[in-house]
Amino acid sequence: MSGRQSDGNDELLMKIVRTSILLWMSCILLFLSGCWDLRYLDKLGVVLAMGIDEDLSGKQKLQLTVQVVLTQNVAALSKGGGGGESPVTTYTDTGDTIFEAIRKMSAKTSRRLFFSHTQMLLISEGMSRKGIYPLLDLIERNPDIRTNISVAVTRGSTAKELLQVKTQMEAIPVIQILDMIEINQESYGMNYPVYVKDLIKTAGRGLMQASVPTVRMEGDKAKSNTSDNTSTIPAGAIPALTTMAVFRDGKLVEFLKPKESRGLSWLQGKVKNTVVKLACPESEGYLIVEVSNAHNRTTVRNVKGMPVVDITLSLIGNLQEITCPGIDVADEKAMDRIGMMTSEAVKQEAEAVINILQKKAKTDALGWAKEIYIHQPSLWRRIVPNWETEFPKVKHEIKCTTKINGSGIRSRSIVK
Amino acid sequence: MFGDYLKGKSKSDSNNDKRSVRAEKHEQEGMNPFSNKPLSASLEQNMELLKRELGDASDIMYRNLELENADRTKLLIVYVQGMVDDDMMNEFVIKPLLSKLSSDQAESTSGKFLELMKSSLLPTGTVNELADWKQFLQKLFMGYAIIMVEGTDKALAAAISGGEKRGIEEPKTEMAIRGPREGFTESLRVNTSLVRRKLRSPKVWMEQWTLGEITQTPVCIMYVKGLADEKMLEDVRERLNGICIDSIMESGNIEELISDQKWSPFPTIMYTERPDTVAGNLIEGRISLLVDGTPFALIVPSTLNMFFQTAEDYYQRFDIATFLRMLRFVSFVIAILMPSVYVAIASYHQEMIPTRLLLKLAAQREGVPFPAYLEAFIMEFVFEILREAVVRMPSAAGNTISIVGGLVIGQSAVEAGIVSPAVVIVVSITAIASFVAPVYSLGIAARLLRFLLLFAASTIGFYGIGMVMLLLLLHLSNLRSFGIPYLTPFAPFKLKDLKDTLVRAPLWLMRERPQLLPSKNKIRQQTEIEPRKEPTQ
Repeated sequence: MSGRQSDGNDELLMKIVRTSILLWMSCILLFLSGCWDLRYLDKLGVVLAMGIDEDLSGKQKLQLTVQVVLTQNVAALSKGGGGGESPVTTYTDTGDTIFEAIRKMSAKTSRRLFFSHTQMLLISEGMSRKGIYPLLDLIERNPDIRTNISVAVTRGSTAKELLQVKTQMEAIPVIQILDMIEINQESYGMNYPVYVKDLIKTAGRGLMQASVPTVRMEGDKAKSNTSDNTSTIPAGAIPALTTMAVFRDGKLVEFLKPKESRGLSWLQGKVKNTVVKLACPESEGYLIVEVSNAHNRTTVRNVKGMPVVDITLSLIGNLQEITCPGIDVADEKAMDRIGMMTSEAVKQEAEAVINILQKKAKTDALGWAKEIYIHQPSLWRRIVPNWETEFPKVKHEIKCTTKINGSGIRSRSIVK
Repeated sequence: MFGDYLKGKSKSDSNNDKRSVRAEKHEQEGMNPFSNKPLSASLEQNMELLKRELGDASDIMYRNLELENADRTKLLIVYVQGMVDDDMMNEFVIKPLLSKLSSDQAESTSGKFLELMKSSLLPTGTVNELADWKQFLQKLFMGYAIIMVEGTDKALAAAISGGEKRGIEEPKTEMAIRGPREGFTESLRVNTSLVRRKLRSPKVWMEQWTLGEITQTPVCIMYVKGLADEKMLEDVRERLNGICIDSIMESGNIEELISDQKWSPFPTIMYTERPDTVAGNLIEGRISLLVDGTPFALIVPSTLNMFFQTAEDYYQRFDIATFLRMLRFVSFVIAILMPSVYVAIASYHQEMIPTRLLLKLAAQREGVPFPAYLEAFIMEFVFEILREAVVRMPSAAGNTISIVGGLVIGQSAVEAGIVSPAVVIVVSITAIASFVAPVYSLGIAARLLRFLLLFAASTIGFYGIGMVMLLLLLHLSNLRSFGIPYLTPFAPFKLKDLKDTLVRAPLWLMRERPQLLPSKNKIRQQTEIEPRKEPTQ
């Protein structure tokens, strides 16, 4: 009887001990895990874009401009009748690093700057030439800032000026630049969005060099940040895309020409949809082929101890415009011929970019080192120590095939 | 099979009105001091005693009769006015007694007259012989007419109970688009008959109990013999036996007294107003408690899953029923979580929503004087006030409240910039979602939990929500309903029972009764029936 009694006591004791340990553990859990921070939504200055320029005074390394949403004006916008108040504003300050500049800005802002929704990073040409990796460390390191921020280089104007352009299509200016890059990729393929995380990957083992789209300002710079800019048709000044810029070791080396820029897109597999212009074979006028599907495959052969990069491009397209007579779209052979002409044109663009990268820029923005690493690891081991001198010597072969699927809802062109 | 039925009936007849042992003891000590005394042979004395002990209550009627037989037998009829049917009283009690007796009937002596009445003079369905005051009082207040004969220390009780009661109407709290439209009423007999009409099997057994010392509420345990687990039945009986309380007004009283877990917002006993729900659950091997005076019957054991089922699920096509089931689960989650998720996002996790949504939310929050959590608390609270007001107020004022509530809270508060439109949207969606729960008691649980989660979200954001949800899961898996884990068939996992949870499998696939109940009789459909593709020749 007494034995059973003590058993009961032991059990009770065990239960108490177990419960208290559990309680203690859950208390610890409460305080030890994660970080949390109470931020009132209406006390935040949501930063949508950052722009980095050189410090003009020369005292410090950089000048940071942030584009902050003015939520009260966004509210006015959504209720109709905006009243001309801008939904965003910018703050600018200098510093040797970005974080320093951000914190210095608190002397000018009434709200805490909130970087979790930052969408765009503009870097001026000057800063890009000095090197972008020091600018990206904060974004990669800080848990509050995303790494899928779209990056662009500014040409001809500073990042600050571009962030201060009032835009017509989008109330929030940076959205205009951001969506512009995506739309361009989706319909012309000359530029494609590049994110901070992509650039950080290129900082790694040097298997691939960075390439970033470029933005410039088109129109009257002086009016760009006033409400006059949007009250006229067309707007006084608008941000516009130019071409991709290529980097070597994080430093800008070359702005590509339009043809080369799209060549880069072809080779990177970034083209979603684009148009290829062909001259009519027998008469004046043009054929426009819309390429709706592009697929590329890169392999590397080992030819006598030297890598040869094989690039296969397969495209699917449609005839969209015929401005010359005598093209019989019902003839399969004619279509095949147009396909071959398209392939040739695309191939030329690809050759152009390879040429400039190898001869002039001397930077492996195509990631060939990566391809060699994947396909010919032994070769890679041998030539990688002096890849910079080897890269211009690498031979390549491009094969391009195009299938023309259709010619729209009309057969013979009305052009005579 | 029929033999069982007879045996069962006689058994339930013999201990007709079960009552808790403790209640009986209690009663003997205080409430009816004369109740265990025998009746007197003298009508005078009996009437005097009754009038004295019952305080000469004005609704108790005494009718003296003198018969035209040889002995000029004197009778006293006692009944409670309003509880007996007046027509039946005249037609089946007084008229037969006063009419001319046949010669041999007239010859009988007073000693045998009671027997004579019992056997041939009272044309009512039930006639009971009473020996003591206890039985006397019980029958009297159940609406029987009690007939005493001069010179006999026994009395007869004739079942002519009647009086005004509500008719069978559509169940007010459990509407169905398809399915029977009848609901329980306040009368126990009507209710048992409604179930009986659905289950015309001799296997449907009922046990009559009386609970509550003053209310003397008739309670009926209903089950299908052979499907309901005997051990569980014994458990139900034991728990009812443990009830020792002065009043049982509603089945809710019993629910609170016999449920496993006293400290939980979750109901572990389901209630329903629909006879078809009771019938369906009885067939699955569950036990139902019907209580006189309320249209709500209890069903045990109940699992969380049952609170998401409606009778209609089984009448609609299975695919639609499945969709509706999932809708209900999702709505329950919304009802619990929506305000707290909003608060967590607006106060801690602004990075988790798309930028444009964030800008919209921030724009709405602009100029609102309260922080998001306070705003949500205020709006939720105001909504609860509105909801309670709508339930309690006289129905004539209904429109006023909805106009004032809708306009003041929905529109003016937003226009004045005191609350943000987003919070109004969140609270409205939550409110609508909380009404999707088919059983009201689960909806109430969601209401309480919502505030708990709101508190957690406003102090530590999603982390708090996660913690509370975890605790909730622990709590739920700890709950039992009459020994059955509350989360069955999810935990413990019963694969076969999943066919009637988030999904409602086609009827031709539900061949077995739920595994969770320990009954041995599992097979619902003997043969493998599938819908025929073409008529067999």
